[in-house]
Amino acid sequence: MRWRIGLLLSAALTLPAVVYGENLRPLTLQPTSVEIGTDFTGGRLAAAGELGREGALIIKVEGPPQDLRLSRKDKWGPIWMVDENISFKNVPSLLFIYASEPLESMLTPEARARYGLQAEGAHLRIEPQPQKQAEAQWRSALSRLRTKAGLYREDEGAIKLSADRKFSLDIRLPADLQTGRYRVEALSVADGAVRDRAVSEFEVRFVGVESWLWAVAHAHSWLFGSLFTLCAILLGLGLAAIFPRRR
Amino acid sequence: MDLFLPIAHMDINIVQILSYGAIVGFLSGLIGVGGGFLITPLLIFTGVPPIVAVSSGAAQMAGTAAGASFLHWRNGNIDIKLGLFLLVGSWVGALSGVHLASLLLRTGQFGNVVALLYVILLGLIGSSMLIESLRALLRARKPATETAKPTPAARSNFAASLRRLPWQIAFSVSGVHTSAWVPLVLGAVIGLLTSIMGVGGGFIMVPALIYLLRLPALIVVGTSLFQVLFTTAGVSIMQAGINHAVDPVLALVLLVGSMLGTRLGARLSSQLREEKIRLVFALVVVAVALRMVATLVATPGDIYSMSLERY
Repeated sequence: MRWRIGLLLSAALTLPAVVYGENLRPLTLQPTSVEIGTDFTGGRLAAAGELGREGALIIKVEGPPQDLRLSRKDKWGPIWMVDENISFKNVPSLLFIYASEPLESMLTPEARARYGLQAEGAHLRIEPQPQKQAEAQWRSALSRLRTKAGLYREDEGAIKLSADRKFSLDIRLPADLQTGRYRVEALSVADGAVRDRAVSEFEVRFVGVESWLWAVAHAHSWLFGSLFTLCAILLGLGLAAIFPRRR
Repeated sequence: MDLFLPIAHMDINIVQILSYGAIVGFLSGLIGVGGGFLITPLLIFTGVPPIVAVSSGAAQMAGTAAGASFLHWRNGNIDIKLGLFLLVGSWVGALSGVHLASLLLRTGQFGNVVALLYVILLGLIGSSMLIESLRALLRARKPATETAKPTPAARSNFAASLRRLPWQIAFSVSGVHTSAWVPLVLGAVIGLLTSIMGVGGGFIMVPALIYLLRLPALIVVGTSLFQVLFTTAGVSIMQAGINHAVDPVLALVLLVGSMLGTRLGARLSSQLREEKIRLVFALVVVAVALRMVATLVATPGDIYSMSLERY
């Protein structure tokens, strides 16, 4: 029995490169939350860390999941109409991928799909399931539209490693951020495989009036609708008193 | 200066939204319509999701119409009895419309239906009003002896056919005797359109009451605004309750802008002849319809589009 335990221990000690936590120091984020207020036009975040002796680095920023509807237009006589809709389930509301080297040289497409490093979202569920050829077009459209909306970004060479293998990354976030917890994952890659990873999180939340409005509008929608409409009517009456019409 | 919209989930230029509100308010003051037929397309062209544009526009119109209808009520320009019949019809139509909007959203056809309805309704109403206004202007330019006045019989042909319908009621303030089904059905159609198109219905109500029922102009404007107030208020509550689609920040900025524009419009309306006001209205309606046609006919930059499943 003892020799078996000894064998296992020695085997573990000979595989330092594949054991998580060896080649990557914990990732630090500053700030750890992004607050959305009335004047919010986008956020900024700094990620920093240290990579071990070997490999290159990928940093993935992933927003909370959401269900997206994609529509495709077709020409019906002279006009363009939506003729087909599909839903992508649990799509990361934001996906930014930064790398210290070209991604293609670091990982195979299969490995990238496995780690969720593709805008097309090969792992994402589609409803209703289209045929294979159409599916590729829908996934390509998802990638294109999300890139255009600023919700998907791939930036190869954005991460610069210093001589002592330290790195820092400036992450710029768009204005239309989904609220919730965002995951920042650093992947240490060597010889076409992920060797190590470190994960950190930050939160995006509404603050002030926005926070209250959003919460009430969703949790008590009828009460919100009634009170807000009443406020609009009272404001209308008040403004009419301040700016009277002269007909 | 950008402003974040918590329900639409986007940032938008506050000056742009204020100016949209001002344009709509200007028309409201000039013509007496809510202006929703203009604000919804403007917001959609700016990138606001159609359901949020429709719902927030309804909330804004409730506020705009409140101030205006209060003044008309004080001046005795509202036929409350007629307004209530219109209102009952419009709430039934509005409730059906909100559920229909919900169904269209789920099937992804909401944007299509909104654009098509705008083209058809605004095109028909705008072009017929344009022809009518031009005729009126031409008639006004001719010498008084040459002006062919419509005979009472020709003028009231439609009104006479409406008198043959059941449930006849006298609307004393308007001086009209017609079937209760007329305002009920008219209100239901407008309520349905308010839910789907985000319009107050003034652009249908005003010509319908003027041309079909031959109501006095001031009563038309007052009663139309009264109906717009309560229909849009109902739609705003229902859209918030069912579809979570009323953006309060957007609606409030539009409301403030519209109040500023209303003042200017009301001033100008007292200096312009009625035919000219109608011509301006018709031109604006036709212009919006043409813009919508362009949206439908022009080849899209990308045939694919993306939206959230739920707001």
